[in-house]
Formats: sequence, structure tokens, C-alpha cells
Amino acid sequence: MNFIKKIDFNQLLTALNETLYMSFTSLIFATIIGLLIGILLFVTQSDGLYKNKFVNRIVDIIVNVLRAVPFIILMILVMPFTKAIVGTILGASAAIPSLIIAAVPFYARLCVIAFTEVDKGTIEASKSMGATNWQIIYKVLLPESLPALISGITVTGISLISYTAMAGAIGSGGLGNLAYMYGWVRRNNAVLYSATLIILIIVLVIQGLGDYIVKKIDKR
Amino acid sequence: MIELKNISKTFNTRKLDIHAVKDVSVTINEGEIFGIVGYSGAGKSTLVRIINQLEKQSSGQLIINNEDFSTLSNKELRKKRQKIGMIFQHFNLLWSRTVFKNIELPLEIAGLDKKQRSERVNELIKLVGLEGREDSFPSQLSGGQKQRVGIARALANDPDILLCDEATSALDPDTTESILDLLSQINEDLGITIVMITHQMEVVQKICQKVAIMSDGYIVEMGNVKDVFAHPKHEVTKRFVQNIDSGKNIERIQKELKELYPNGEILRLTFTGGNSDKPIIANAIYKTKLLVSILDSNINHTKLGAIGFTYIHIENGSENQINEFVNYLVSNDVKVEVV
Repeated sequence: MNFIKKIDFNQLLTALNETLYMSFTSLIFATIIGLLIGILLFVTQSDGLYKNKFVNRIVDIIVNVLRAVPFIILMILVMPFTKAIVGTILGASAAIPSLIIAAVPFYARLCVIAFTEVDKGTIEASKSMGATNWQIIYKVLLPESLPALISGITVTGISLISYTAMAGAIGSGGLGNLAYMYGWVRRNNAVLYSATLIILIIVLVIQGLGDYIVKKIDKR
Repeated sequence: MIELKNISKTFNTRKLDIHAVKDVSVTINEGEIFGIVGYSGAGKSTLVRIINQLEKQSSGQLIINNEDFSTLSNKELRKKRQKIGMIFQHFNLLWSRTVFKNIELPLEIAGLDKKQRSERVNELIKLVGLEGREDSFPSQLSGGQKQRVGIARALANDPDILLCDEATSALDPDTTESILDLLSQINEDLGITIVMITHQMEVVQKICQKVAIMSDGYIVEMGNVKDVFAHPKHEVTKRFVQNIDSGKNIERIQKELKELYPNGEILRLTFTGGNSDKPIIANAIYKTKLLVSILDSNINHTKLGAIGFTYIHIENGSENQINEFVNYLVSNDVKVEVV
């Protein structure tokens, strides 16, 4: 009983809200932007539809560099940018730009892998039907890679949740912040465990949902 | 009419240049079924892709229906491709689309409206005999059915030309047969020119009128299928012709044997497996005291037993002896034919 009393449920709910808000907002943006960059990377490859070595190289380097910077450092580097567009560097909204910047190159890479797995023969077949490159992308490439694109969203979503926990350390709010500030700093184990448990549940739900959708749409 | 004039194609890789097609000139007439045969790496896949310009030739001219394809813009080329259907060894269907939707794809690409599309798809489904499978996904179909979808898809925009890239190589013999029947029926009914590349000589023999044999990028022999089969000149052609044990071939062997052994009886014994262990011919000779000589034989030992044929010659023997001989063989599951 004592254990339960140590938890402020309102506080926990607010933190949960913040975590969900940060994760899903940034996931939506990261998915859209990451997909576009993934397509750009794929079509500019040496055997791609719009072969362009220069563009491919530049985008590839940017993606790699962004992927290489540890998230905790990225957040600090992005601060001036965040301040300029969000107006503050504190709170859930302030975490979103850095979350997007971290997740976009990650998802873009997953998209390239997904596209690479599409049977080259189907692309050749659609060329032989006289399809334009744009038609090939939205009628063949995207639907044929859809299961992999969706599991990519699942993986990116789960990474974002753990990023939000890290963002908590520099004042973004959310369950990570709660676990750190109240659970660890103030030695309140009840808060520490309950926040962790909730994060765990969110991750499991996202994974389960993603797997279910993939199974439903995959007709291979 | 498809005219290839001095077509060459070189792939430039970092280390070396690969000359896939070398100075090929071919004319394929309207309504013809034209076979291009060669071992893998002979350049036949590249050649067929030059016809629909999936590969651009390094030099030479491609002229289809008196139009020079090398002068076309990309947009014009895409329009032309809608009139050149193509089917593939591995079918290349979209797993994410049903049979109906797969066949609909080229019509979507051509920009037909929904009503026209669905009418046309239904026609095509009937044409290739896939009624009732419209809503199946490719993964639920057999190889033969998948190729039927491929054919329907290739015919969607009423093409003048159908290119077949090893279209039957992934299919079993029976299915190959039925797909070839379908292709020749399409050729007859719709008057489509068919260009088939294959390494299966039986395919050429069954449906092609003309054939070109490719080796190392060159066309080494070309002509009417009958002439090429009867008098193969090039080494590669000879090898291809030898590899088939077909009706015509049997006829030739039998004719030659008859000329060599005008007296007595010549029998063709066919072994269909299951009787490999016993010395059947020896037993038959022992029982009937007939003197038999073996003229020609081709027996392969498989898991099912011995499979193949033997030609034997009996010069002297009473009808009774021969009957007894034959009966013994037949009772041991050997098929006996008098030549």
C-alpha cells in the first residue's frame, strides 16, 4: 500500500501524455520526411530510376553523419535551432525538432533497405509496360515494399520512445524525465518502476500493432 | 516487322567491357514466332531487351514497323512500349496485387478509366483461362497460372509484339506444353509477332517458325526451324539439336536402322523404370533361343530404375519365337514396338 501511495497518478498521467505526444508527433514527421529521403537515396543510386551520383553521395553523407552523432549530443547541438522555431528549449514541444532530426536518417535508411528488397523484375516489368518513373514509384515500389516500410515505422517508433526518455534528462518532460528526476534523483522507487513499466507497455503495444499490420498486408 | 541492323551492345564495367551483343542483324516478320536460342551468357536476354529498348544498343539501328526507335524521345518510347508486351522467366508479378489488379496495371499505366479497365481485364482473364481466380494473390497460384497472368498482363494494351524471356524455363514439361499451346493460339488468333528466347530446343521445335542461334554475342545460324534442325551447321547448333530426344529424332534413327538392316525384324524396347534389376533381355533370349543383336541403346539409370530405349535386331526367327520373346518382355513392363 505504501508503495502505491508514493505515486502521484496525475503526475504520471501528465508524463505519459507528454511521452506519447513527443513520440507520435515526431514519428509522423520522421516517417514522411524519412520516406522522401529514402526514395531520393534509392532512385539516385547507380542503377536507379534517376541515377545521380552527386546527389546520392551528398544525401548519403548527410544521413550518415546525422546517424553517427549520439542523440544526447545531437539534442544539445540542435538547441539554437529549436529555440528559433519553437521559442523555447524546455518542454515536450522543444524536444520534437531534435527527435525528428534523429529519426529521419534512421527511417530513411530502413526505407532504402525496404526498396532494395523489392524484386527488380517487377520494376523491369513495369518499365516494359511503358510506366513513367513516378508510376513505378507509387504503383510498384511503394506497395511492394509496404510491409518492410511498416516494420520500419515500428522500429523507428520504438527508438523514438527511448529517445524521449533521454530527452527527459535535459528537461523535455515525459516518463523518462519523471523516472530520472523523481525516481532516481529523489530515490522514489515506486515512481521509477511505474514509469519504466508504462514505457515498456507502450513499446510492446507498438511492436504488437506493427507486427499485426505487417502480417495482415503481406500476401507473399 | 522488326528489323535489327548491325546491333551491338557493350556494357562498360569498371574492370572490363563486356560485349554482350555483337553486330546482330535480324528481320522478324509480322505474325511470326521467332525463336532465339543460346546458352546462358550468349547475349540473347540483352538482344530481346533491345527490342523494347529496356537496353539501348551501343551501335546499330532498331526499326519496328518502319519507325527508327533510336530517334524516339523517352516519352514516345514509353508509348511504344505499351504496344510491346513482355513475359518473364520468373513471371515478375506484383505480390501485393491480386490477379485482377496485376492484369490491370498496364491499363492503369496507359491511363484507361476504371470501367474500360475492368472490361478489358475480364476479357483477358477469359482469354488465358483464369476465370474464378481474379481475386487470388500470385502466391496462391501455380507456376503455370502465374505465367498465364503474365501473358494476360502483357497482352493488356493490344500489343503487336510479344517478347518472351525464357517464359517456360521455370515450368514443368506439362505446364510448358500448355503455355506454349496458349502462346501459339494467341499468335494465330491475334496475329501477334512473338519473339521467344529460350535454351530449350523443344520449345523452338514446337512453336517457332524461324530460329536464330546465338553464341558469344553473335548470331551463328539462322533460318527456318525445319532446315536448321535437319542440317545444323554450327557447332553450337549441333549440340542443341543433339540434346533433344523428340519425335522427329526417333523417326530419323528408325529410318537409318531400317536402311542398314533391311532383313528381319527391328524392335524398339522402351524401359520405363521399375525393372532395372533383372536381366530381362538375357532371360528372353535364354527362353526363346532367339539370336538378338543390340543396334542402338540409350538407357539412363534413375531412382525409378532404368529409363530409356534399346533397338534390337532379330534376323532369323519363327513367328512363335518372336511372339514368345515379345510377350516375355511385355510381361516385364517393357514397351515393345516393331519398327
